[in-house]
Amino acid sequence: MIYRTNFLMFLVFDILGTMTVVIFFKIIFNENKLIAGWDFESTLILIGTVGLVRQLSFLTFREGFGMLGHIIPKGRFDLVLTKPFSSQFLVAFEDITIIEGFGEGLLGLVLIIYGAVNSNASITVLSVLFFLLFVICSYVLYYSFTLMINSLAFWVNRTQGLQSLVYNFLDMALYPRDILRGFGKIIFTFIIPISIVATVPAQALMGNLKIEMAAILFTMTIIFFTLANFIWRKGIRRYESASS
Amino acid sequence: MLTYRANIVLWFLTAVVQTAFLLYLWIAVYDSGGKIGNYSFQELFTYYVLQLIIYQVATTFISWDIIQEIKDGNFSQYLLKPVNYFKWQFTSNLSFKAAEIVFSISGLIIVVLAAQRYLLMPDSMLTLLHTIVLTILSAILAFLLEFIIGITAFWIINAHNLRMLVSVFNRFFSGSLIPLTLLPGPLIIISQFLPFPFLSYVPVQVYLGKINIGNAYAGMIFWIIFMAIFAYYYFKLSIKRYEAVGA
Repeated sequence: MIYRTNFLMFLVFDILGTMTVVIFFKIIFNENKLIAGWDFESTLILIGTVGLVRQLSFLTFREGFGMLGHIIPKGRFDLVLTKPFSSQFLVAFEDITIIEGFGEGLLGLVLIIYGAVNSNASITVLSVLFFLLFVICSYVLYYSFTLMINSLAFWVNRTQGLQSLVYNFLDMALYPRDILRGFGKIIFTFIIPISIVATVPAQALMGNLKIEMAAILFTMTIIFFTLANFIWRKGIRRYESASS
Repeated sequence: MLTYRANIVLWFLTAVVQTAFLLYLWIAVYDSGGKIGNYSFQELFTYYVLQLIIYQVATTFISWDIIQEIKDGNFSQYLLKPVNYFKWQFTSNLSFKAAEIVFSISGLIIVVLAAQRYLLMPDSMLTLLHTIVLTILSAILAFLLEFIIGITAFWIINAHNLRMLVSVFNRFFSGSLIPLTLLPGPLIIISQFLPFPFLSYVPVQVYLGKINIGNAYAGMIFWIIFMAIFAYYYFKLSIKRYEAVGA
């Protein structure tokens, strides 16, 4: 019974959040045909892609890493450490739930399909494959980012602010990267790579992805994954020395 | 204390980044000769910067704290004097608020210096005064709303879900995404029945001279009184139920 209400809540919440954004862009595109070269349909693909990545993360590591903020201060992390598996993956995938609500992912798919069908982009089987490839890449990037931020629980006590940071990370990925310029472009591509998370897969699908962008996404993913693991291990060491 | 301050900084940074993206969006629109409603670029820019500052000053996260305290079972200690719980939340919130305001004003000064030519000045000192007063009032309203949402934890298990749900409406109808007058008709009608526009949208519109000041005050005071009375009785009822269940 509790799960049923929870599921509905998540579904409603997901749909509301996404529709808010869709309405927002619809209002803007009502008066303007293009924004930095993107039309409404391509923006829908962008929004849908963010939804997909978010959904995948909710289905897997989001809850798990989010729990770090609770487990670590209460000293319950020992339980994770004693197990013979990688503590990182234990925490990440401990909470795989199918019930958490497909709302975002389904709606994301709907938006992508609608946008793809109604745009004049050339979509081929190859572009779909590349799309999936880059979605997985962005997923790993988001995984790394989430791991990094939540690892701060080893140093900081209250992590509620960090949670909203992680969530909002994807919120900002649904703006077409081409609106950025100058300083902002550099920061949001190479330091906080939110601008590439959805834009690269979306452009891959529509067939107008530049090879440098793909390279940047791959590189940033590798960098962030390495960095995240480094911080994670440092955190564990800190935890172990603190509890001994 | 240090960690809470870190949270404020994080939240503010997130809000700044979000606003930055919105501004980039508007620059992209206006640069290619586009428009958003009847807003000039300066009006829109001013709108978002002000909206960000006022929203930050006005809102709190106490609903999260209250829900957690109730869920963790720490609430019993307050049972002896329930009215004081409200006062306690309010006053302990004030000191954080003061820190937030100092922080926001410093941020505001930086923005004003960096983007002077994009920002509109108020048409009089009186307008500015009204904006400030209305912001203070909206802080009170925001607190009341958060309090009410917080104590729903007495009634439902997943109060956090409700909190997040309300925050979606809150964000949207307080105009943080887009000025409310640009929404499709039905949504504008809905917004007129909600208290959220008074959280940051109304003070900003007063500053921009796009709203009748009398209406602004009237609506604001109406919602504050309504929410205060609601909060009082709702809280009393919740305590009664809590005591009955606990015993």
